[in-house]
Amino acid sequence: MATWTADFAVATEFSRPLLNLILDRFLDELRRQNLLLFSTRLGRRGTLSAELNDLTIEDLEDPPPVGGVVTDVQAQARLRLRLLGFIRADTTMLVRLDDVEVDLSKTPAGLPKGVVLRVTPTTSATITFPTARGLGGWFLNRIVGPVASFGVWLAFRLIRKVEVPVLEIAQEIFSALGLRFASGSPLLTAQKQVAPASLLLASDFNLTNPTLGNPNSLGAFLPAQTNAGAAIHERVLTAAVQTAMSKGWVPTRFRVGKWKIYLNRIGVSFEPGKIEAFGSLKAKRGKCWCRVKARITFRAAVMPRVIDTNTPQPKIAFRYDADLNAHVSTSGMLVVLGVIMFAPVFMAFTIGASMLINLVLNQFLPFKTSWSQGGAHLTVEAQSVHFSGFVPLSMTFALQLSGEGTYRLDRFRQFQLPGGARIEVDYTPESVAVQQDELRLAARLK
Amino acid sequence: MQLTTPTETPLVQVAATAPTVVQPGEEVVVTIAVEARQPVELLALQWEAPEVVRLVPDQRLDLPVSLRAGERFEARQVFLTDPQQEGFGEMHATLALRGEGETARTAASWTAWISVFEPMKAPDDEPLNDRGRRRLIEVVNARARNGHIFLADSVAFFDDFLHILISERLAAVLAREFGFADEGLPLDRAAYLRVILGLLSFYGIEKLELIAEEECEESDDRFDPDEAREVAYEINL
Repeated sequence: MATWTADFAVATEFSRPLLNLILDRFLDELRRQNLLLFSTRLGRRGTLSAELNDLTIEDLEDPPPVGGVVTDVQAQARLRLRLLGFIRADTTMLVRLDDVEVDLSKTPAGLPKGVVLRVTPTTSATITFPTARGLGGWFLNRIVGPVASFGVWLAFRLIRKVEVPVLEIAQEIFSALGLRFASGSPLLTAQKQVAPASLLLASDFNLTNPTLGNPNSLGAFLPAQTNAGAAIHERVLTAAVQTAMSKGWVPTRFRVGKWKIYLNRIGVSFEPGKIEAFGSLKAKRGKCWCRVKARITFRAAVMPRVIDTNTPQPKIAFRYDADLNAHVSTSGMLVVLGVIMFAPVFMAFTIGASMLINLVLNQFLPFKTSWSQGGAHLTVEAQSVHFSGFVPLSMTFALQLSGEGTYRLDRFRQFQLPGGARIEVDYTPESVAVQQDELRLAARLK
Repeated sequence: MQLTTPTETPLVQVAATAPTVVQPGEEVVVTIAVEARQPVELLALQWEAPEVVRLVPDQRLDLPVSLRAGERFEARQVFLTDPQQEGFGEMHATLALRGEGETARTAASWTAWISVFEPMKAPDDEPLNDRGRRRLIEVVNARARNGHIFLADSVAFFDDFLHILISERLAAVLAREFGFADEGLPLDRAAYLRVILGLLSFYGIEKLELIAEEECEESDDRFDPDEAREVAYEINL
């Protein structure tokens, strides 16, 4: 089976149509602010103004060696030209730029925050005026068009303001988790073996046992009907879970009934169809007749699937991987398991979702965890410590082996790009998938 | 308790019955009933047993023997224990078989638990003494399945595996103290037997180990984020 992360800690994939959608939304905002309108005087002979209407990424390619993406971009602008008092043109101008570099824009701290299209000195430009006819068309196409330097200047003025703001939030999550990029990360590449072409971003972090991504193995991993996906390697999730616990966001000491539970160790693994947590804990109570304490080596897994995708309230439903003919449990042990499993399950879904959409998880972190028991479910709630306006994220765990837990996705149905443009998020039954070592979340942004 | 351990292969069904606990010096008598499901030749029976029991040598087994489908074979095997020695462990049995007309051997194998302990009566009015507690810790920790049996019915476990008799009064006190009823414990007798046979286990628990409370250091309660420690900081954007 093809790997999704190519052994990187995390990988994201954005299809070319999605990048164009985000560009489109971003241009809408710039247009509202009149930032797409450019005008200049042509000496004393006339004036020229142009307003960018549309910008389309036509291709994505990463020529060898891996790690540098180029694209062909087409910009459509409305051109108004007044020249020598009698030449007037009001027409559509197409600027086709070949081999535009796709690069990362960075925060003031040097962390990547978006994908930016960069016009370089080697970029070639072709300008056409497809709607101009007759003498005007001849003049524009033969006289104005070949003034390539002007075209590049104009395109540069237009395009250099455009970035695809898809990364900042995700990277800030990992900063909040105390994970720093390993050398060579993040890697930006592209693939066009699987249509549509897509942009891929993969990162490794400095962990105790760091993953070592293989750039040449990175490929498309989006399931059908989706245009954005995030894949997480189990090692980075283990580190994230352990960080959350060592920082106290998720408690490692808690009381269940008469027992005090001390979590000593936890690891996470992704198995086909399952998120598994394993580790050890101590269970103690006050004085007991036996005069002993218990150490439990635990291993439990939940099997997630996305349901209700055609309703306003899609959910991730998950059940324990118990064999009901061979397993029995007690409600107390299921409370312990629910509290323990919360960290890996919540962190896996929330980090994955935040890499796809602007969840503002960086504002949500750090969080504190509480839980309550009602009926056949344990409800575990994560609430932002500093930002009281953030509605808590909650997850339910079944207190019966045959029961089902849920995580509501309706909180992740819509987000705003910087500048205010809104993006809707649709889920499909393939939006969550788990294979050996990796978890993938994918959505259709529209 | 006398426990019957069933085993099935395509060739035979085996039921081996043995005590789970005896006192030092007492014989451990294992009765074995084999029913052929197909024509089969029973070739030999081999044991791997803990030091605390030793197979009486030269016991007559009348093997090899051929059985037709539906025919039965019964045998009795006796192990001796030392009057001065306590102990415990798993007894592994392997019955070598050969199907009719086949040249390759197969086997039916099973495992039973044996504890050899002096019987004790648990004191009603004071905590479990050191001797009883040592038995409890050593037997529970000896293999993963024993922790599940202890969880399934701890009062029965004391009797069936530790030779420690718990009075009804003490059993009621323990049930209250541990909140067994709220947790649906103890399991019913049929489920308890399935746990003993390894057919049922507590979900999520790989192993339960017991630690003497005075050996349970508070410093061991810490959470260890072993995978979240960073290697040397390096960034190359």
